[in-house]
Amino acid sequence: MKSVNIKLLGLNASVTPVVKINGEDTPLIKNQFGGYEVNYQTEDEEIEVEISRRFELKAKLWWLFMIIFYIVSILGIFEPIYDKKSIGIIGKYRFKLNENNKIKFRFNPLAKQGKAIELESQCELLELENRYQVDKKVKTRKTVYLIIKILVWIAVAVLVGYFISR
Amino acid sequence: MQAHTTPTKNAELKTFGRRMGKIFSNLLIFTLILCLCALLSFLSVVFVWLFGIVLIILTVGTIFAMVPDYFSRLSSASNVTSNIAEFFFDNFYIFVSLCLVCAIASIVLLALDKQNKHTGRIVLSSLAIVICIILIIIYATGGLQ
Repeated sequence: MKSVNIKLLGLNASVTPVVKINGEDTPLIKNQFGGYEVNYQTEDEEIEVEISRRFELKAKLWWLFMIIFYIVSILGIFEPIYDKKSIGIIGKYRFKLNENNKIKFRFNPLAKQGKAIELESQCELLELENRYQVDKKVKTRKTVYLIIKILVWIAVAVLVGYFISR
Repeated sequence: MQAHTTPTKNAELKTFGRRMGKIFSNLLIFTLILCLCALLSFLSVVFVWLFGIVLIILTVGTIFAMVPDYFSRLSSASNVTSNIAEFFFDNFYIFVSLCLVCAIASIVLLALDKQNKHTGRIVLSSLAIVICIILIIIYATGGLQ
């Protein structure tokens, strides 16, 4: 049985990371310094590690969540502001495993593009993807949400004006 | 070390709970201000009269020459503020219960978030509960009337 210890360091506090090993979501452990750890055991000679960022607006029921948030926060007035840049992390690596493996992913500051991760490992590895990228899906959904929000505000203002004038 | 799993549905619900907690925490500030308004609006009536009297003293009474209906204006201003104060008094229990609901909901939802610590917001919510209890005691004993 081979053991793998993965550390994610230097992540922005607003970022919720997702680590997939061989395509499966892996439990993350948060340490006291704000970093994350993954402890994984496998019989495989090779593993594929995929790192990404979790966005609320990418959830399956995002539209339902948005409606609930919008209503509860009184037409979105008391809602926390979303991260404007919507920068996603795309990291994909293939590692050839030894008996005990320590892998450190050190994240660069968030940027619209460029290299996302600096890697420290003694394993033989193949970097498949490593970059920051603006998530267009999240950005589009954010814009849609903002437009709907403004339209509802206008509709409410018109309705209030109409009822006051009556 | 704190453990938190990230299977998709579970993680989505956690994110949902965290955001909801923050919304309640933001709402809490607004409802707390409404509660405090019951106290402050009473003070505003006093403040209007105090301001009016200070103005008379500072102008050595010449304000009556400049504004002939000065007293009626002053009393109508204090009437408006007393109407506002009455509105806050009448709805005090609604505001205070809304504040308590928001505080409790935000504490529960933010405490459930194992990924990030929300110490500031949790402390604020706890403080709001204490203020609400004090205001209820003051209101129930007739201290605001």
